Amino acid sequence: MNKPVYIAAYNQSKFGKLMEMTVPQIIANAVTGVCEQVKAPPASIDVGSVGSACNFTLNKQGLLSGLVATVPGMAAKPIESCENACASGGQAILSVIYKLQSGVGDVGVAVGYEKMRDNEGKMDGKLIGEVLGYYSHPDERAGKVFVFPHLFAEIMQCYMQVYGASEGDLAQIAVNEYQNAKYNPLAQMNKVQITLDQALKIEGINRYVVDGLPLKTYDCSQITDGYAAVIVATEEGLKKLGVAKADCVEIAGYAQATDPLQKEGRNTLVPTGAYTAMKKAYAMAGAKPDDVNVAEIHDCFTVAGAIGTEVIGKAAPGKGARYWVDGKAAVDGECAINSSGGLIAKGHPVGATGVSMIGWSFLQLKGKAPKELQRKDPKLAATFNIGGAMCASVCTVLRNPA
Amino acid sequence: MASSSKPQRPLLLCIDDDQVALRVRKLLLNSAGYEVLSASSGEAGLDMLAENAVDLVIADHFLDAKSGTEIAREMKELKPDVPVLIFSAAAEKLDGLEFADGFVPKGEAPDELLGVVARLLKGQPAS
Repeated sequence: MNKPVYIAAYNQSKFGKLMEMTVPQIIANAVTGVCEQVKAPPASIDVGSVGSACNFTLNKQGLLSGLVATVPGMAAKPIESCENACASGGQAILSVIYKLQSGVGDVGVAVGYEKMRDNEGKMDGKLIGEVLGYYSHPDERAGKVFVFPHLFAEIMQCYMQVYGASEGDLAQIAVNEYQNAKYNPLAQMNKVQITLDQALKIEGINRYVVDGLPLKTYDCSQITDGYAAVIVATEEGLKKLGVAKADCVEIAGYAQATDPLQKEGRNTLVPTGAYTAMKKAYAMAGAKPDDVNVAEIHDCFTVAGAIGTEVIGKAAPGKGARYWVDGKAAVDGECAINSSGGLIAKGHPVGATGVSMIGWSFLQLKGKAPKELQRKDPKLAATFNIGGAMCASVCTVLRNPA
Repeated sequence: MASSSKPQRPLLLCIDDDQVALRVRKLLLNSAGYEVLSASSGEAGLDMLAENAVDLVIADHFLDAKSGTEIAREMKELKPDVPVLIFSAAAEKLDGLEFADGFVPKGEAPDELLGVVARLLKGQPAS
């Protein structure tokens, strides 16, 4: 029997540019920042995990767990580093939950970060394209300059052909997310707005990323620096921290599933692992999609936003983009999806993304989101974080304690 | 903002140029029931000591401009009754430690630090 586990605190940097902040400083700020939310020292934490994807390739830094242990009060504790591509952050949270469930401790910290830009805030697009490409199967990289946009451009074309969705249907996801990000002070694109016409018109920065395929610049998420952290605790842990259960959110359901890395040969429009993980999370929570009216899904590209809407059970396969076009994903719609701005407008600091999804859902359920984005009657929240070309999924269902 | 009013709980002044260490020490001491002022340099710490009814000073030895023991000496000239606890990662005995009321090695267990703080606040020896 699993012990109930709770999110006791959430903290994140503004997503965008961390400039000259070093990796040790990022990790230290993430841990101390989230500890400050509950006014408890790091010494009160029993276990930890840290997720990142490009720490070796962009930051030349490994053994991130040792940097967590460097924070005063964190040494000599069970801490591990997690890498599951864009699901590294979600995996870090699961890693903490698993430790708490095994009885190793009662309070854990999960950190996610990515530093994708240089000290001046500039990005090397070619390098980033190359290193993110490492999260694909080697047989599927040949001939692709920007491997991931290319793979998702193929998925987007497939989605449109199979389901009859239009570029405009998918672009609506990006338009809504930029609108949401305007009110999220920690979002990378909170000073940029786009119209549907702009998202569709090939002009300025908006161009087809791969010749002959429908993916455009505005269909893509951001290149982002950022960190995020949560404190996860058992009921015993909450007592130790002095945090009231009423101030927390229960991680009522959680599951992980990974599909084969190669995209070819499997149905990436209905990814088996993602659906399996989400179904298990709902079952653990004793909940169903209809119960959920807050969600954060992994829209690394607009087509992933459409598929994510389907994975969480808010739309049938092929109807995910339509859900957004019909206004059902709006803050006051049937289910407020990616009210944070999503990866497309909030930003996508790869290792931090999964943590920030759960963190934002925590804020929504506690009524602490910015007022323009706050769901009026938050019930249950679902999160769907995925790494690779629809490969490794972390799904959760969150609710306020009874 | 500095204030000369005396808080209900003991007021500690922490001096360290390592911002993470300072934040963590503040969290630890707050959770143990102490009010905490933080300074990132010895000079700022001296100013805060002059302006506030501090009950105990905790200073890192390795500061940029002045060492913790130099700070301890100047603080004793300013407020001789306020105990000063020095932190250091140095293994060897520090020069000027006679001006301090106690010494705690960096990386100590939180309970050890809190124990020393509690003893000094009661007017007892640090160890």
